[in-house]
Amino acid sequence: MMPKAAFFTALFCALTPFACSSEGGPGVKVHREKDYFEIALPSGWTPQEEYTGLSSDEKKIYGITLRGPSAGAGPAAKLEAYYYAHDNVMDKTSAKFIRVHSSPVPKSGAAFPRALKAEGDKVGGLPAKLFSSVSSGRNTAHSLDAKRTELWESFAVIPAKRGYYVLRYSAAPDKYEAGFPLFEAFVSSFKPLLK
Amino acid sequence: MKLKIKAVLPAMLGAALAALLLAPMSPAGVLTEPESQIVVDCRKNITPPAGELSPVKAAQCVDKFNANGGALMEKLKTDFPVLVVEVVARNNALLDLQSMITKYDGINLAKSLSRVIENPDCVPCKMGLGPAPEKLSPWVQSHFSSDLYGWYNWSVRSWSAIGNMRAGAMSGPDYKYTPESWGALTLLKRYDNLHDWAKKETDRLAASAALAGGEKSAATDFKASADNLKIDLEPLNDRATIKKLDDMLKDLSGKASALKPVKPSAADQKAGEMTASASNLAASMAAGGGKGYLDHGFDNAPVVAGAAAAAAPSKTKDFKGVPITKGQAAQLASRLASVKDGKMQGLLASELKGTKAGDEIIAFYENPKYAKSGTNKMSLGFTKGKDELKGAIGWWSGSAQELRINSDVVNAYTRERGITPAQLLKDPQLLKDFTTYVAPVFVHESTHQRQGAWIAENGLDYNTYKGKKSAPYQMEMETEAFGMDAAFVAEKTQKGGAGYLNKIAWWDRADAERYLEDGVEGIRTEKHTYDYYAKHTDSIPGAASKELQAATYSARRVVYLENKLKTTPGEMTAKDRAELKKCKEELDTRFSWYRQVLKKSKDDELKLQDWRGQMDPDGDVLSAIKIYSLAPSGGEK
Repeated sequence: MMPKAAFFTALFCALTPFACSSEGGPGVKVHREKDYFEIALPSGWTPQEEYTGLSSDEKKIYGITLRGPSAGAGPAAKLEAYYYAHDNVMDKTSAKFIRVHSSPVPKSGAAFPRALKAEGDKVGGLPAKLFSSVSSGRNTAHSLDAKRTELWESFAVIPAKRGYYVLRYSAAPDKYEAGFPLFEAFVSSFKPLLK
Repeated sequence: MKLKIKAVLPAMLGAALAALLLAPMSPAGVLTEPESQIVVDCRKNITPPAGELSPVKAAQCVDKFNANGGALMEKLKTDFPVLVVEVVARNNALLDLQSMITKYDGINLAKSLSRVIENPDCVPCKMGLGPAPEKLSPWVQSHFSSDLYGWYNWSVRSWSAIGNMRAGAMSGPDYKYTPESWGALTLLKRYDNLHDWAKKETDRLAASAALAGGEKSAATDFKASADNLKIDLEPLNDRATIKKLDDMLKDLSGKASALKPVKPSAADQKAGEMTASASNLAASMAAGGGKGYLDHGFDNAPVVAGAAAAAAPSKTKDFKGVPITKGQAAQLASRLASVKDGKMQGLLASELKGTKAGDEIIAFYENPKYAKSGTNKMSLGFTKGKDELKGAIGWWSGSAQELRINSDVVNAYTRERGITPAQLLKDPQLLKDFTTYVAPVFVHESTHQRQGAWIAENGLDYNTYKGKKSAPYQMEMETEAFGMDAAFVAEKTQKGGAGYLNKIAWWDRADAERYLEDGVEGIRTEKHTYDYYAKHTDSIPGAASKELQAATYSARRVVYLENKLKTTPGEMTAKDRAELKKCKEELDTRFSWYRQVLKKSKDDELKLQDWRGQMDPDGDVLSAIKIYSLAPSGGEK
């Protein structure tokens, strides 16, 4: 059986255009977010840095957002891993978070993103809620020429003792399937440090 | 342990800098040893070639300078103004660059980067990072992953990254670029040239395809060429040419070419890999997004009066709409909002009342302090948006002190509902529904007016344009304005449900959805990708770097004049003293602006997050919006 780290390496290498660089193989970089969690970062995905607004400590939300390789005019695919402390400024409970990010499945049979599957519905050894949703926005400012945009998303929400974890994948509908195995690997590599 | 900065810092910074630090001491001029070390490290970071220009270090530096309300900046500003201006400006500039390079790529990165490095006030350029984007490449290579380095060079369309096919075309007779002359082009001109080429190539490809035979392999070649051209058509959102390619491929189905197109080289295909998602993304946007507001064919609607028209528009062949006249526009504005005897009146006052965001706006227009200074004057009007404002829904002009909603919005609204502006003005229910429709944009633009009043109140309006004073425009002003209109819509939805959602524009529902889903951070991230903001609107770190760097001359004059005052006081003229006072005030104002906008941004975010929790504690409001948006009529209507 392939060791877990080697599996991720192989998968990331296969799924990202620049994972296997000439600099001596991809390697999987593991991100540790304080004492909250660890997760493997796929090659070719860039950790986003933002210096405006509330800090992590002010929000009580800790983690990392990775921007996928896109180069299009619209939003890039994203992977996120966050720990939401119980007193965070967004959604105090995992139940609220799940409610907020769930979307109704269209009855008309319209396309809808598939959700993640995990053995026993567990992620990192903890029970998780796995679901997908469609989120909409627009592409320009207050303009009569604005267009509606759509993002497909998949979530793993993992309640912890005092707070909860969120693993999230967002992509344009046509790119969703292509990046989904990467999200599966990302989730598989998740290691909660709070139980 | 407390140390006298005058004794320690010059020694730590070296003789050359010490010569610069000859300002007289003040009681505030005391740094601890760790503080002195911060100053030394942070200055070193932004001083090439010895300095690393490390964005990680820059983040640490900015955090330390901003801590405790900017206490360290205040200390240094008194005694070492040149030093503090440079250190805070340049470290902020590195943060700004890092943020845009890690958040965006492709044309979104090109737009953001051009805003900064092609600006005459380019702060990164002072560290060797610009104005040509290639000057940043070694820095990107040093501080980011090799993957990001590749993406960066492709995003800025460096000659070495665009591949043989594009480089060949750009150096050919139609364009005649060399690697050097290409490197001198602005970022967006590079995209324009490649788009122009792709457009011409599309015509050639379509002509070849028209003669095509039935071989499967040729059809595959045409698809590969078409996909390659789309890479240069997508960033400029050239839907018409992309459609031409798609139609061509459709026609080729079952056919193939008699005249085979040139296949992209491996290098071109590699470039293609990097942007393959662009065409896919745009295709999905077209599929999921549908047509724009004005493309819905609002003409041909029947004349239907009353509330039924607003709730359920229908169409006939004949109705083309009647544009609103200037007189009707003035009448409409006065019916919607006015302030009399210190009280906001009109239909908008009723629409806004009883909501958190709306009540704040009403309180703003009724604020006697602002009335005294004349900064909260109600100036709503309906004007046609022209030039840069073409298609805009509304705007606040700080220089003209005017809040405007585009008269095209009224025309589209009445046309869709098969009514005339005269009917709108006459029918109370129609007018009430129209008020509901424009209230979110009024909240947005009046938030900008309120920002202007706050800026003036705090003495931060140090810029002058057309005789009017203002503060630097930066992205957090939009984050607050979008947050306010989204919060307003969310709360109105909480009270009015689907009936309310049916009366407002889809983009206002989309903003509320973004706010309720991902809070202020969601708004901030999404909005800065918008074309206008990406090209024109700096983040706070970006704006801070420009504003503080612009104070360098004043800082130098303060050092010189303070020294003169200390060493040869008899030579100080009245003009010198006046200049010293003016330069000190300029420094004070800019640092004060920086500190206060940072604080305001955080305060606004906390408030809007708190509102979000209060108005939708269980996510029911957001669910209502999502369900409505998924309904057949809820998309872009």
